[in-house]
Order: sequence, then structure tokens, then C-alpha cells
Amino acid sequence: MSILVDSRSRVICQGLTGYRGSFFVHQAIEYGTRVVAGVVPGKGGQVYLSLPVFDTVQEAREETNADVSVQFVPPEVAKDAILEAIEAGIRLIVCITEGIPVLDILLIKERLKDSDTTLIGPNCPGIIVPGQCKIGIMPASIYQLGRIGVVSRSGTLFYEAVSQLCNEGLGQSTCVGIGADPVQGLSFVDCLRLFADDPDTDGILLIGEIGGAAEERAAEYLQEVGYPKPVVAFVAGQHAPPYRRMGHAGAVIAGRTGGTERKLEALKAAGVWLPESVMEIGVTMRRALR
Amino acid sequence: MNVHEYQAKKLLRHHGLVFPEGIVATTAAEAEAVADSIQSDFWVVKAQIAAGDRGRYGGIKKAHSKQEVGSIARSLLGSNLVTSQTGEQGMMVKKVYVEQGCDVKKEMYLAILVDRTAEVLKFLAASTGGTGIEDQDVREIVDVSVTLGQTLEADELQSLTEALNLDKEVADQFQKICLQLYQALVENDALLIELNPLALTSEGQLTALDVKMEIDDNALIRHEEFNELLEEIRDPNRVFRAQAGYNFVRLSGDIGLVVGGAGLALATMDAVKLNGGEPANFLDLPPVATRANVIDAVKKILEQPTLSCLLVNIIGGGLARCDTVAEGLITVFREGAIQCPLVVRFEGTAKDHAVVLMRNAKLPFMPARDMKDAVERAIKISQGK
Repeated sequence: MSILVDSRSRVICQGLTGYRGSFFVHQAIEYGTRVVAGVVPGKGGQVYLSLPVFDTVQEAREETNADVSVQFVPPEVAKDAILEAIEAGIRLIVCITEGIPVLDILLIKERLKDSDTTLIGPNCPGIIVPGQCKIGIMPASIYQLGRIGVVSRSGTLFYEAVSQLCNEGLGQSTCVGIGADPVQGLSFVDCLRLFADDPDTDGILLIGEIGGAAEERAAEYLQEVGYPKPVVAFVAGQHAPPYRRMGHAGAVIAGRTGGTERKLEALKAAGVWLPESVMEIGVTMRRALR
Repeated sequence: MNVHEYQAKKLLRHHGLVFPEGIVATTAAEAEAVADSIQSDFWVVKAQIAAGDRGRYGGIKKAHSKQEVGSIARSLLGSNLVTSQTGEQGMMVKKVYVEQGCDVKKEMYLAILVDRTAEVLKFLAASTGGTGIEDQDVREIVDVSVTLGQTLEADELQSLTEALNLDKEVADQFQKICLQLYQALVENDALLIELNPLALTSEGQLTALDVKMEIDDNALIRHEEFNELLEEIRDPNRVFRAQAGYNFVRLSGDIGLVVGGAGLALATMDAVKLNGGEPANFLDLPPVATRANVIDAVKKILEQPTLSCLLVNIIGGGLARCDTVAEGLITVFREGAIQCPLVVRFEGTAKDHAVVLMRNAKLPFMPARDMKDAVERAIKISQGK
């Protein structure tokens, strides 16, 4: 089993005919993902990469019974593309697009509240279930099937961590890159909840970074529920160049959240395993599983 | 992106907000002429840098004569101002803003911002303003969330107004300012607009003496009008993706870092520091780095003359390819710009091809097995072992 998606997920791609869209969909199909259609306004009726192309998500969903949409549309039109997918009743949106204005995402979050749709991203590598499906831009070759759930804010550090797991002989059940924009869809807590109930996940690796309060929230949740599985966490940015948000409002709002020290403290208090350095993520997971 | 005070005031005047009269100057003579054109008992001369806390670090000074305006401007212009928000390198003062002084009866605080922790838009207001606002008892700061896309409700405005304990006439002015700020934030794609202090003058006028404004880098795609503004906040030690296609911050160490992706870049810095090394920079190449991005960024790092080595840590994934980075390095090498040892860790997409390209180009480098190996090798070189 896995979380959020599996080999039966029926995937459409918004922005299929663009350079990135076609590149990744080609890879996804090769990996075994059930990509069923593309959505590109104005190109409905065409066939691309042997897939039917529709003008709207609604049509694509009705014709193909798709439940997942992966997005490679340019940032200027991402808001409309996401809202369209929400309205069409898509269950899971994976938004790879980088550079979407923050106010657009805030508005999308408002709409998500009244829907049954889950959003992964934006600005994220996507999700992969090794051996079943890849809905994102991660290098497929580094992932191996196994029993560790991985959730990461960062992209490249996510790949680094997964290659360390594989070096330790630890494969993965599901890996989710949730992205690191200021405002995000799916959170660490959402993923931890799903992994807790997944019988095929024995341990969870969480990759965080400075800024925001996602790690503090995860720590709070873990402590609150008495989390049933071992969790290893790494938080990047201990020696980041000084944060330069101007004015005082940031400090008023964030209080003591945001810095790595506070995040690590909170995670430690919640019983999370913390590797001494980035290079010990893999071995720490091995220890945590004993 | 943080904009200068004078730029923020110019933008906000379009939304009806009122500030004391002020003009920007680039020389002492200009500053004196500006003071001459603004009727006032005294003037305030303010260093224009895109960072705050200027008041406490000598970047904002009062002048009681035109000559004094000139001499303050002379001392600020061309100087390097270091405040708690600039980093240790400080920021060069290229412009000063000369502003009409005003008689202040009361200083307050008002801000509107995107709260990324709560993922909402909110106002913050307090009946006292000034630099120590974040140290204040949080109970004294009123916090009102607003739903994006909806107009401000009367009760939302009311709770902000009550926080400041204002007379009826001033309360009306205040509510108008709240509405103007909300509109200005949305229309400019700002992440923060902070009026601190928001002053009540002896004539009963509400006016903001200082403004901090942060604009969403991602939103620059729909604001061509900000191009000029971007030009003005250029900083040689700091490059943003919105301007150059990659993020770069110069630091004081000797190990140059060529890394793709912010998370891995941060983690590489952490690993270098943890093992006793000092990074010369932070660099975050984008997921779709082009050869030109790589050349540009590597040259930027090499501007630092005291580098002991370059540490390349690249994981190719998606459209990011190791061979693109290799091609960029080869170009810089052929121009004779790489004088220090090169430690290279390639993983993921096209790593073997990247190594072949560098060997064929006779670019000497130390291949590293993994990140640990790469960091350890770089630190050995740095420590002269």
C-alpha cells in the first residue's frame, strides 16, 4: 500500500504539450504511471504522446474518469488551472509549477477549504510510489521500493536523503515533496497522519528547512497523538545567511518559530530522531528502526 | 524583495496614503536644494537602503538648517550602513530621502501582511509604535485576519480602531488608511506594508513617518512597472532569482559552493560549517539551470580572490542535469578563471556524461563519492592538509 496515489491512480496533465509537461509525462508513462489525458486550452481534440488532449479539466475527467491532475502550466496561469481542477472535482492536484504569486495561493487555499480536493505543492518535486507510479520531476532511478515514508519541503535535499536511505538498504513506501513556498497545500502533519495509518510504512523521514512553522506544527502533532512509528527529521539552514525580512511584523507574527534551533528543539521534545549532520540521515533511520 | 522607503511612499501615494513631503537626493548639494524647496522648521535625512532598523544605527538624522541637511547627506552618501537587518557587510547608501519634519503627538503601529504561519492575510495594530514593537506584550498588539477577495467588514475595522483608542475624527482617518493599505497590498502583490510609526501630528493628522514594504518576487511576472524599482535595489553581494535566474549571497569564508536547489544548498553550508569550514557563498541554482546560469553564478563566486577551493554538489533530477553544470564549469575554466582546486560530487541525471565531458576538456577536479566525501575533501584543502 501507499499514501495518496498508487498504480490505479488515473492521472491527467495540465500543460501537457509544453516542454516540461511533455518531458515529465513521457518519463511518468515509462515508469508505469497511468496517465490518461492532457488538458491544454485550445488544443482539445488533438492527440499528444498517444494521449487524448482536452480543452478543460471537466471534459477530461468526464471522458477518462481521472482523479489526479499534475500541473506544469506557467505561473501566470497556475491559479486558474488549479481553480479549474478544484471545480472539476479532481481528488488530488500535484502542482510542480514554481514561482506562483503568494496571493494566488492564499486565494486557492480559501477555495480548497470548501472542497474535497487535496493540493500537493506548488513548487514541489511531486509524489512517487516506487515501482507503481511517479507523478513529478524526481529522478526515478534513485528510488527503491520499501517501507519508509518520506516527506520533504526541499527538492534536491529530498533526493540526497533518499539516496542515503537506499545506501542503507532502506526502500520507500511513498515519497512526497510538498514544496517550500511560504504558503503550501499538503503539510507535514497531513502526511504524517496518512503514514501513521499505512500498514506498509514502518518509519518516516521528514526533511524540513528554515522559515515558516511547518516543523513546529509537525512536532506538536507527533507529541499530541503519541505517534506510533519512529520519525527521523533533518532541518536544513542552521547556518543560513541572516534572514532579511524587513520591518517588525515578521518577528511579531513568527515569535520564536522559523529558526532551525527552535524547530529542532520542538522535534526533539516530540521524540523525533535527529541526525547529527545531513550526511547521517540514512544511518539514523537505520538506528531508529531497530 | 524589500523596496526603499522613498519607493514605497511613491507607490502608496497612488493609493491615497498621505506622508510628509519628501524628495530623494543623490548628492549633498541636491539634498540642500531639496530642503530649500520644502517648507519646514526641521528636516529628517534618511539613508535609503532596502533594510530596516536604520534609526538605531545612525541612518536617520534630524537637521535644523539646510547646511546641516547637506552635511548629514554628505556623511551618509557613499557610506556603508550596517544595521541589525543588513548582515555584517552592510549596504551602500546611494540615496538619501529628505523629508519635512513634523510635530508628533503620538506614535502608533499599523501593518498588513501575509502571515505564512497562519496562511492568512492580517492586520496588526498597536497603540504604541517604534522600534521595540516585537518585544511588546503580544496582548497589546491587535491582530485581525481578513479573507482575501472579500471587502473589509465594519467589525474588522472597528476592532482595529478600538486597539488604538482614537477620537472619532482620527478614527475615520484611520479606517480610511486601513482600506487603502488593503487595496495597496493586493494591487502591488505586497507581502508586507508596515507603517511604523504611524504618527498623529499636533494638527490632528495621521501620517506614516516610515514605511516598510516587501513585494512578492514571484509576482514580478505581472508587474512590469517594477522593473525600474528592481534596478535601484541591485546589490553586488546578493542576487535574486527574479533578477538573475539564481539566488546568491556572498559570505566571508573561503570554500566556494556550487549547489543546485535551496534545500541541498543550505544543507551543504551546514555540513561545511559543522566540519570546521567556512562557506564563501550561498548559491541556489534553479531546477532548470541553463549553462548561462552556471557560468554567471560561478564567475560571481570567483570574484572573491581568497577562495581555497570550489565545492560542486549537484544532484540531477527532473530537468536539472549534471552535464549542464559540467559544461558551464568547462567554459569558465577555458577562460582561465578557475585558479583553485575543484571538488565535484555529481549524482542523478547525466552524472556519467558530466564526468566524461570534464575529463575530455582536461579540467582537473577531484571526484567525490558522495556529499560526505565532497565536504571532507573541500575542508582538507581549505585547511591546507
